[in-house]
Amino acid sequence: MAEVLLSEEEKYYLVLGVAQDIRVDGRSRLDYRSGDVEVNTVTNSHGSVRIRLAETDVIVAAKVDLGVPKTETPNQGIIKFLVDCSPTASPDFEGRGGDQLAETICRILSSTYAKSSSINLKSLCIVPKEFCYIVDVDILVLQCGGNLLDVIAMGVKACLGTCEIPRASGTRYDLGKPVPVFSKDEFQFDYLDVSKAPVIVTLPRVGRYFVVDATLEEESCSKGKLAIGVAPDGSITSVDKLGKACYQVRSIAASVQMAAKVGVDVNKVLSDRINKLKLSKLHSAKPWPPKPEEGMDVE
Amino acid sequence: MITTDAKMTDLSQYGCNNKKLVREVITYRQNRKGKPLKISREKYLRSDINCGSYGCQLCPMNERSRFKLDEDPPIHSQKFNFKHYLLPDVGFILRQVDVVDELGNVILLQSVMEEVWRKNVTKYKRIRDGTKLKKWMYFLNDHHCDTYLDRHPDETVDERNIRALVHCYEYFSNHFASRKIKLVILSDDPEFRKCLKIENSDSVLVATGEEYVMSLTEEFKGLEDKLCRVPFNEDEVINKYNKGDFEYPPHLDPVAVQNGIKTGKYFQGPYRNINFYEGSVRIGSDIEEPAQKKRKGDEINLNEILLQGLEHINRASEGDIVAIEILPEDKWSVPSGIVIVEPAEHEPPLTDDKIVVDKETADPDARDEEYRQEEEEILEAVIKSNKSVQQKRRTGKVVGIIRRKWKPCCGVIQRSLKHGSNFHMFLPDNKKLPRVRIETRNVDRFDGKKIVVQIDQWPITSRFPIGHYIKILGDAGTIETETQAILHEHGIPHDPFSKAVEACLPTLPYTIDPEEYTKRKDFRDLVICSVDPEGCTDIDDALHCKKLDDEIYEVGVHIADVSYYVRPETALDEEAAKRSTTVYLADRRIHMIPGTLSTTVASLHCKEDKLVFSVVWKMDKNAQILDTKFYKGIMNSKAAMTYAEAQSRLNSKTANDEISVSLKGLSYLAQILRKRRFDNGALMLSGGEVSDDGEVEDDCEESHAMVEEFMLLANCSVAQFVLNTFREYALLRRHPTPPPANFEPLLLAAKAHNISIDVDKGSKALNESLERQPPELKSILRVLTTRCMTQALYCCSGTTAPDEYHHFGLAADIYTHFTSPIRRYADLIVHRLLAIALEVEAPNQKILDPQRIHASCENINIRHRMAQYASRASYNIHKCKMLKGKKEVHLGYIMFVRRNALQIFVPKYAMEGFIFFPKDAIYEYNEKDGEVKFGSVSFRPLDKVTIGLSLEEKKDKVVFRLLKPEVPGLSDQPDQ
Repeated sequence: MAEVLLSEEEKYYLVLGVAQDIRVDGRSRLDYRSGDVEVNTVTNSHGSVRIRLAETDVIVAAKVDLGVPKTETPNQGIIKFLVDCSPTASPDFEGRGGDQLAETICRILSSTYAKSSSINLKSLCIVPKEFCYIVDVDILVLQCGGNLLDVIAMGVKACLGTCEIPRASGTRYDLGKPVPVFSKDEFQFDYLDVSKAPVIVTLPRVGRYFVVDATLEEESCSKGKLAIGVAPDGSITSVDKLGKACYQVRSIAASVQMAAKVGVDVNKVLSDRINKLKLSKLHSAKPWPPKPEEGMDVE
Repeated sequence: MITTDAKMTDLSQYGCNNKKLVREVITYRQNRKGKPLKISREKYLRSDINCGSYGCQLCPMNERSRFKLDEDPPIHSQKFNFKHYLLPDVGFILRQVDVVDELGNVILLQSVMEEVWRKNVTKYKRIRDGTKLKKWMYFLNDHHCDTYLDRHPDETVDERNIRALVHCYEYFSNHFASRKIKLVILSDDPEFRKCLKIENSDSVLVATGEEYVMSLTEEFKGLEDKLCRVPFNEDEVINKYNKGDFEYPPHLDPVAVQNGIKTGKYFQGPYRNINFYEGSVRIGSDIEEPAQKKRKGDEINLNEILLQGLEHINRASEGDIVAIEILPEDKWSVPSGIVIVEPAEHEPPLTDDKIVVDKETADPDARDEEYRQEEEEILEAVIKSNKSVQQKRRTGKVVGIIRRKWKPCCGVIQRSLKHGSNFHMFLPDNKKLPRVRIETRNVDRFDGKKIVVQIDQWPITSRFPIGHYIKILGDAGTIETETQAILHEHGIPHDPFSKAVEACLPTLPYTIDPEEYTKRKDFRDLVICSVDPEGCTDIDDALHCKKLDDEIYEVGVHIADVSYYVRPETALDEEAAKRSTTVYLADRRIHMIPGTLSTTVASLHCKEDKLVFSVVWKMDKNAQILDTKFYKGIMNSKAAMTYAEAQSRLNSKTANDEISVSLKGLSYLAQILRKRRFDNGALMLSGGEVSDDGEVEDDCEESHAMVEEFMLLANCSVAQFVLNTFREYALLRRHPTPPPANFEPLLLAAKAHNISIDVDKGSKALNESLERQPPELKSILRVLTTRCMTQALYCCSGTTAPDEYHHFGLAADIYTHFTSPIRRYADLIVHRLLAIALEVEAPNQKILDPQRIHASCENINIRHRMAQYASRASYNIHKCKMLKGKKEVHLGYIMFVRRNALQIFVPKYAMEGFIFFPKDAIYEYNEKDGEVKFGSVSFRPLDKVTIGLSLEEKKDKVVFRLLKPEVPGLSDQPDQ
């Protein structure tokens, strides 16, 4: 994880500030920094966002591919994540430096989206056992200014929410086997339903208190952090511990409660933003998923 | 997305109102594996596209500006009696393409044309080609900053295009307002006005094709005929041919076909048609067959895949490159051997009103029924043969068509029996092509005419392909029209030579540049003479022979130095390359190079100084070549003789003038050369004309052979020399050894007559075995052998494997053409190569280029073949005319025995035809031996028969009647 080196005095000042609910940049413990989401940054991908939260800057792009469902889940599509911590984001990522962090983030995202009811993976299935969509989500960290995991999780949700899934409009015969044909119409596509997709709220403990949206400096004052997945309805989808710290049950309970409260707000803001972005693209996408008989008719 | 506000300021001076000059254009595609791709491109809208109207002050001018529209468009319409330009929509172009063709001052919008392209490529191309010449402006409205429109999400492509059209209408209306030019939208759609989603749509000027054309003045009188008058919603062009119970299996898409070919599941090859219901595809030799499965004789048919039945042929037509799948072995079959009777023969005379009226309603179905019967008949025959024949052919079915070879074809119309129908049948002259359905609203003008038709498409639901007529050649049956048709059919360029070509010609009277006398070898003192057929005006070869001493002869072949006149990279050269050969028809000649050169300047006329390219040998008296030299020379012919004149000099014992002496020397040597050549295994081939007793008749054989021998020798010497100098660049003529499969008919015939012919031991063995045969069969066997041959081809030594250089027919290792540069382009190239090889001319990179030579060869090969076909077809027409009103009796040979007919060859006219067996006749057909028995009389290939020839007046068709042997029900009496 990207670290900044602070002197003991600096740390002391920072921790004391947090204890008094005034952080270095003037926020309270539950305040987020300001940020923005921009869509269609990678024009050749089916959905892409660039999400910025203060200095943290991440590009998330999703490409849709045609694939075969996994044998254990024959009627589900697949979402894959790949995180690339670019060395431009932090000197620590040079060489293989970012790999471990990237792997951790990938794992958290995969478990969040694969297991929970966050996204209905069945909607990504085209023909059970034969064809499904595979959504490849590539995450590129351009700059790391703290709270990377939260930003990535928000980016992924926004990206999936604005990703244009091509609509299967028929079948063609390749060597006797029907292969789905996708609509070539630029306005014929569908959106994934991300209304239940979670965000992650990472809570590092600075001194005796948890803070949200920690800066790099604050992160370097904390020994460890809890990454808590929160669905829009406030339910907790995952809890991960990062770093070396150990927690008492009481403080975990407190942090989860705090995350749930913050997470609902974050989800709400993000969902509004996603809906606005969709509207700005001016389309009238039909409800997803399509009825099974439509689109799969043999010509 | 990039914003271009900075650019905006510069562009606003052009009155450009569209704020956003860069658009993101998104397209969705799917790659081979089925992966969906989103492709995003930036589209830069332009403000420098001009409107194309002369005198426009508003549009920016630059070097790319094109002006097509009149400054003051003439007013032809009574209804729209103001200055206007026309703006057709998609439906109008598709329906009224013939009308659009005749109109001027038309603005074709890019968005409209792209839609036309999607709907009908042929019509698109036709219009697109027209934009080069006609007063049509192709306006790039999708790139113009003022006329570009984004598609709305809830809009279909069609709706967007209509909006774009109307938008352009408004744009142009404003644009031309100051010049008082209006716009008229042409649309046949009666609902068009309702589709307009703009205010005061009533003021938009819209006309249907009918409205507009009917309002035109006298000048455009003929245009009414071209108008498509079918109500818009019932138009079959718009709502396609969804009729009938008949349906072909769908073709696979190209990607699947390519994948299949790669994986070896499908095979690719050109389709050859046997009849409408049967054909074959010759595929590459990459079928892997386990060795133990191979049976004797299998190799013959291994790569020739049979296709039977409409379903399996699946809309392939002659020459198309198709992808086929081979059927499992239990479905393999044999060809039916049936000859399809031409459709015109078993249908009621079409002009007879009574019959037409009688059958008016039922007939179209009846005809369909007939087609079905035809197919069933064939399949039945196949089943019959399948039982009797052990060895079956590989059979396959077409899964996709890789490339269509649809060229314009000539033929006549067969009117639909359904009264008032717009669909009629077109019968191509080329019987290998399928009948074509064409749509016309004015069929009367085609009555009795020969027309040219282009096949456009073959819909899945239509038994026959669909085409459109291109032009009328003239009255069917007249020599002029038929000749035109032949030229057209074979794609022979026969327009008069262009001005640019004429400009390359030397001026007459021509005198040789004095400089040439100093540069060239002087042959003027030698006794050179030329021997040619009577009436020949383009003499390109001359000969001389001089005895140096008792042992040594000097022999020269002098060829007109055409390459001196036809310089590379001139218009003349290009034209000659395009034509590649002079085409000899029965009544005319189509020159490769203009007459000024071919018959006057270059031709080696008697007693004139001429430039030549010569080969001079020193030979001993056994005609062994001691020395070969090539010269650019100058000569003066002492005599231009016909073969007969030369022959009489040769025959005369007393003639001892210098010309006769020279000729006799030549003839002496030629005979030795000829004998040596045949001993080496050269084939004696025969094109067909054989006299009644079966022997080749030639009074002037000796003089013929003399000229031929020395031409061959010159060609061989040149080939040797050029190839030795330029390994890579030599142009050679090769004649591939025919594959054993080609000889099948010959072997079948030989078997029937209990004779043996060696076809697989090389040309020498073949020649000798032919020579052994009984005299009465000899010449007809030669005719048949000739037909089994492959075509000789030109090739470039650099792009052909050296072991393929050989010439099978001449039994020569290498051969080329050098001796007729006036009438063959290949010879011209060889002349140039030889000149460079001799270093009398500077090397030219454009000539010494294997790829170029290869490309020229390909073209020359095609042209030669076409010229041959055209020539043959032309002679056939003239033979038909000769038979007019006569009934002649001739000797004929049976070439093939078919299941329902005999294929007869009449040597007198080198003509071929069929004698069909009556449907109710009882006969035994022996598939294996190709034999048919009528009671006690049996017919085998190469049997002699007596044939009555006459001309069926109405159709200009020669009718063959069997006179002898007499078979009740099959043969006719001579006096009938």
